[in-house]
Amino acid sequence: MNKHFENPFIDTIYNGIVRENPTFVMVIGMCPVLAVTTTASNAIGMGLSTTAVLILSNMIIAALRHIIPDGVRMPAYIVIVATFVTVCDFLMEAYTPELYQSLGVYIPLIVVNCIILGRAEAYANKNTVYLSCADGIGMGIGFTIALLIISSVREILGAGEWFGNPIYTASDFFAPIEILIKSPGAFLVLAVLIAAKNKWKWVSDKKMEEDAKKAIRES
Amino acid sequence: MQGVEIDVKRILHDTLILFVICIVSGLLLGLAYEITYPITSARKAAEKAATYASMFDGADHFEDHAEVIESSTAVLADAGINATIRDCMFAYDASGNVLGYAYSVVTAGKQAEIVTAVGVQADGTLLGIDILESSETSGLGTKADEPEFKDLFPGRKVSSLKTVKKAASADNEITAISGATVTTNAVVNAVNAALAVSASLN
Repeated sequence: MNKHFENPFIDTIYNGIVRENPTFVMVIGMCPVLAVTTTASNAIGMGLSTTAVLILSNMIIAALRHIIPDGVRMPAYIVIVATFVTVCDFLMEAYTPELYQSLGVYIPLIVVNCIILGRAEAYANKNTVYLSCADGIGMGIGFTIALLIISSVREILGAGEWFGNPIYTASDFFAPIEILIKSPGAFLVLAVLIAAKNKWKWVSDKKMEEDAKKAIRES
Repeated sequence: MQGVEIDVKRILHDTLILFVICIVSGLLLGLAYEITYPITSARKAAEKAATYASMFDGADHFEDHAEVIESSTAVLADAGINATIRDCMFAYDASGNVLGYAYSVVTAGKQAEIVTAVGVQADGTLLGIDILESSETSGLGTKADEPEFKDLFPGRKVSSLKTVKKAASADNEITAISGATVTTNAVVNAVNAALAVSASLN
């Protein structure tokens, strides 16, 4: 899990997807995670639109990092991100109506997604445009994968469907657990998945530690 | 102000830069809006026309009747329906007889306004509904825009509808969408408004 890559671009992407996954490791951007993971197609829509905004806002903020004064950086970031998202919203509504139909409801939510501001503050204002782009890609994909996993669990167990396609019918043996697609289900699934991830990390860290000890003993 | 140094130059500098960022952002937004508004509004008008046309099968042409919007205020206030008619069109057949009325009705949804298109035949039969604009909760309120819900309406001939939380048993009952009673009420309200205004036109 704590693997590192030589190429800084790839390493930054891997960092966003695994080492510092925004949802499962940093636990930021929880509003969309809890709100839109009712179906897998919603999750993909939210994940991809956030990724697009994240990459571009990271790059713009990295490009302006020497111009924006420290004292007013927060309002400056908010203005930049909100402008950017709204322009995207206008353009999508005008030129890609089909896409807008399915993603339109998420676009305004992206402005207040704290992953965007979080990455601007924690990464983009200290790094080059090139690496900030990689960070946007990694964090965006990491976020999308997390949303997809959570929504798949909720949709399959809670509604018996996946991407809107029925995969089993309710029987005496197993009926969909309806609470999972309601709001409390989001908390339950998220908690179980984070617990599982921590267990996996604990096991893999322990194995690494033992390998290291073994290597010392053998030498 | 002991110990606190106010660096006027820095404050002015920071303010100025933030001001410039805001001005540039504002200009960009205005520009994007200017470019996209005509396209967006033209498409919305076309969508609405298509929706109206799909409700009235044998319609030859539609005519805008803006005066109904004004007269509807009193009708809706009398009926106690909290809704606004945004536009009203009469559907005519080839020989000029009125087939019915198509409305865009604005009602309060869960998060924001919902605009519902409602088609009512001249004899008061519901021809259909469609959601033109809404920002309801995805996965719950958005079900109002799915055929399972919209198909509940056509063919009913009642003076008003009501929402029930059990299976609908009468012709004037609509079963609420699970988890989206507010949205269901908003749509039912819109339909009731259209029915009340249509009744006043006859």
